[in-house]
Amino acid sequence: MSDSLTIMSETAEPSAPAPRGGIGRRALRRLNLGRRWFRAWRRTRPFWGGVWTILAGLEIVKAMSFSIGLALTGGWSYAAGYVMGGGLILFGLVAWFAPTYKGLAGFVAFLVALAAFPTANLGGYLLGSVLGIIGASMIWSWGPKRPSKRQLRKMSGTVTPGSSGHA
Amino acid sequence: MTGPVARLRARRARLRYTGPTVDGVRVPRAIAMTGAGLVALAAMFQLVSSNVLAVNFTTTDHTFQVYSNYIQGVSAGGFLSQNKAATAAGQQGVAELGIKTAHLDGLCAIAHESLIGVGDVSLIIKAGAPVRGSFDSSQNTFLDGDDNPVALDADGSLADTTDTISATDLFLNSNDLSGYGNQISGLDLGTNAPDTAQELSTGAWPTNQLQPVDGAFGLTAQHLNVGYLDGASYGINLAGQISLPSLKIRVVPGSSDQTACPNSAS
Repeated sequence: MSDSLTIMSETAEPSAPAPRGGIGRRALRRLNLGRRWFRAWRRTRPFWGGVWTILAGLEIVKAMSFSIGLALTGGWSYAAGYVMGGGLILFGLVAWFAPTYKGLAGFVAFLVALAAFPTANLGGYLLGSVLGIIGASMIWSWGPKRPSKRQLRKMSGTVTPGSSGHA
Repeated sequence: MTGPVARLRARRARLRYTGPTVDGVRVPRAIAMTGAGLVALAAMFQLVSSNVLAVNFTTTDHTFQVYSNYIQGVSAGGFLSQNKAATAAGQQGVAELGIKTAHLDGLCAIAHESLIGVGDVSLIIKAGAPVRGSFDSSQNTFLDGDDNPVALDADGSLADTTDTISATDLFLNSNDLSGYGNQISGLDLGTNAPDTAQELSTGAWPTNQLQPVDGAFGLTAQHLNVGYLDGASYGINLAGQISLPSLKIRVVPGSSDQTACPNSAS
């Protein structure tokens, strides 16, 4: 059992008094709730690594933008962009929606980004491969780490033992 | 157990951080992996540049401007067709040209793209000998971008193909080609289009493009040598492989033209 301490996410912070009345205020409150939910969601997974990996995949697909029919019937020359780019998009989504597999997803995305260079128009004219390598590294290296001093100060009032925190 | 491994483990356990943690990107690990990836990418780039690693390069919907000091093709066929591989926006009447084996003295391909938030950018791919910044196709002496003459044999073939770009089963679909046809031999203009396939190594045109129909115009050539090739192509398709020595790829702002091809311009 880990003895690490966990910081309560910002969604659990004492919320401000609920605004009363008015459609505008209700909409603002919902927007604020949505923003907090998204922030909490983002902080519990390798979000930015996923973003770069998905962008790399889109760039590689765009660099070999053939019709789906041609990609399916034209052989590897035409399908490579969809296979390599699609693979990167897939592993970016895995990092977002199944962060448990971040280690495997990051490592395989790293290999796919490298393999895209000789197989898919120089890895989407280099840009796709470089973005993919950076994104995959961020996914693979995501995990528990020592908080910065600023984070420690922020945590000091809200730390509860036995749970795990997110940055 | 008091072995070195046990001592190392005990030391690691003593030094292990046991305080509160947060989740995030562990920067040293990320930098190490990114660095390893970029080194591997640079190594592959070097292998491609030095003619060891071949790449798959296929385009269709983007117009490329293709320049070469000299192209030596052996066994070529061509016919008129529609650019089937393009999306609806890229549909054009094109000449499908297939070359069984080709050697190019220098290649400079320029594609233009308009990116949101960035504006017009040009992708410049250079390989082999530097390509001249402008061509004069009125005479049969050809210079490269460093003003060195392209060495040719008496029959118009390249004297030395060691450092040239070599490609097998190279297919171009182009709507505009110009240059100096130098000692082309075995030319047959007006061949029945389906018969042009006999010039290709497979004896058939790739299945992913529109096939030639009986009675349509076609041409074949045994030796297709073209100096100062200047072509607008919708696609460069390789059924085989291509070797790209001294490969350079640059993305530059604005709309570049042939003057960006010589080394002095890079």
